[in-house]
Amino acid sequence: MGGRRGSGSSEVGVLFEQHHTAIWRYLAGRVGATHADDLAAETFLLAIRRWHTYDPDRGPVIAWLFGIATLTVRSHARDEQRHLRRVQAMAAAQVDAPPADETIDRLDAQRRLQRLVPDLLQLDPTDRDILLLMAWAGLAQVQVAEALGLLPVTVRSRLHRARRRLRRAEQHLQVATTRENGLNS
Amino acid sequence: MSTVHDDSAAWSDEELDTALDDLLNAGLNPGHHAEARSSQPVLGVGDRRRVRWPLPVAAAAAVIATAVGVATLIADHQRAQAIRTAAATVAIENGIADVGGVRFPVPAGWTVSARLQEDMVVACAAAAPTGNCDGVTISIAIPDGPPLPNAVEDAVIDQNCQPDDGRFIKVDTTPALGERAAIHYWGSCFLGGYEAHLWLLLDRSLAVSTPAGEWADEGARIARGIDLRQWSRQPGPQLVQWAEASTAVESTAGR
Repeated sequence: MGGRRGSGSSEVGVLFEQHHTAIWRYLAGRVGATHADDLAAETFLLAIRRWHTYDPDRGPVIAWLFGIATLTVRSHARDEQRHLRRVQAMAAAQVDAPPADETIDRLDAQRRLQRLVPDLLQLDPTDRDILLLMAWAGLAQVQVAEALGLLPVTVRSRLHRARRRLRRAEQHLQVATTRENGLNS
Repeated sequence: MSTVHDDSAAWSDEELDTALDDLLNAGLNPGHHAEARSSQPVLGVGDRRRVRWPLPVAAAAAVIATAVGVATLIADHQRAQAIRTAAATVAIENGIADVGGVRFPVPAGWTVSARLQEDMVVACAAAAPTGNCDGVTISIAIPDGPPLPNAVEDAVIDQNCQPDDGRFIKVDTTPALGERAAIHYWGSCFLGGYEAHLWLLLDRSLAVSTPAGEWADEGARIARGIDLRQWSRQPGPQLVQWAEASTAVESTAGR
């Protein structure tokens, strides 16, 4: 991209062609495919309005764009929660009554989703943003920092904290399981 | 603990990454879950094919609709931006400046710069134009844009006045700017203080202003010489009102 000069609309038009798929994919992961179209459109319109704020010296434009996409997710937090709960419910339904043609791999995936979604929902929203930007947008920590307006060291510590919390949530669940099993035996 | 599972290990990094991929795929392929959850009888292969084809077509249509929608908005934005950019274009020839079609004489030794600011162009005619204009400021509404904000009037003297100052305002309702109806305010914070001037079109689309105690003659010369024949903004309804009780006197600026 050619830097800060220009109206933004032509530059963002080029960005739309280059990065729409990646942005839509990230948004579909966050809120589901149904809402991803709207949020992708919202992302690029916001990018046009905010083009004057983009500073090429601070990082690649794709990180800036993912930052805007993440902002749109935050403004649609309910859609994200609904999507996650729907995924969890569908995964539970498939694990409880798997379709006849369901493969072992797909069932494993559903079990992982059953575990993951409640853990994700209890994360701090910014920690969740960091985790998912790194996993789905393929951004490096320094780029996630640019995308979210955080210091790189903050991203590193929050990512560490997010993963630690996920482990703790899992361990807590195991302790509860052990106790429950102990009581039942 | 109804959701308790049998896994014996906490999330490993690899397992977490796999689970996050699962979640991404769940977002990308909602049809798989919906279909699996359906209580309808299992369909034959041919039936499934018939049922499945609308989903990718609908998804593709949605993406195309989004692209077209955004492209249209981008095109509209580009047109609006082109108008804004043209409105802030400055050319000076034979002592006459042209800022987006608004022409006015430039005092000897002065030059003109212009910048876009929200929905208006702010031009500065000065020996050395800067953002904090030490000269005459010409505020121009964007063609097809809203009128100038009230702050343009307030800035005439308020910026230099203390809260308990008197603000002595004088009004001349007879002048014209480029043959369009206008008003001329001038005033000071206290009786006999330095005066600031403002010439303003009654539709609040263009203003010429000077700071207190400075450049009154240059401002008057620019206001008198304004030519709006090449300006694409059409005259609008009168928005500037003045109280009958205002002190209507004749300006001495530029005389």
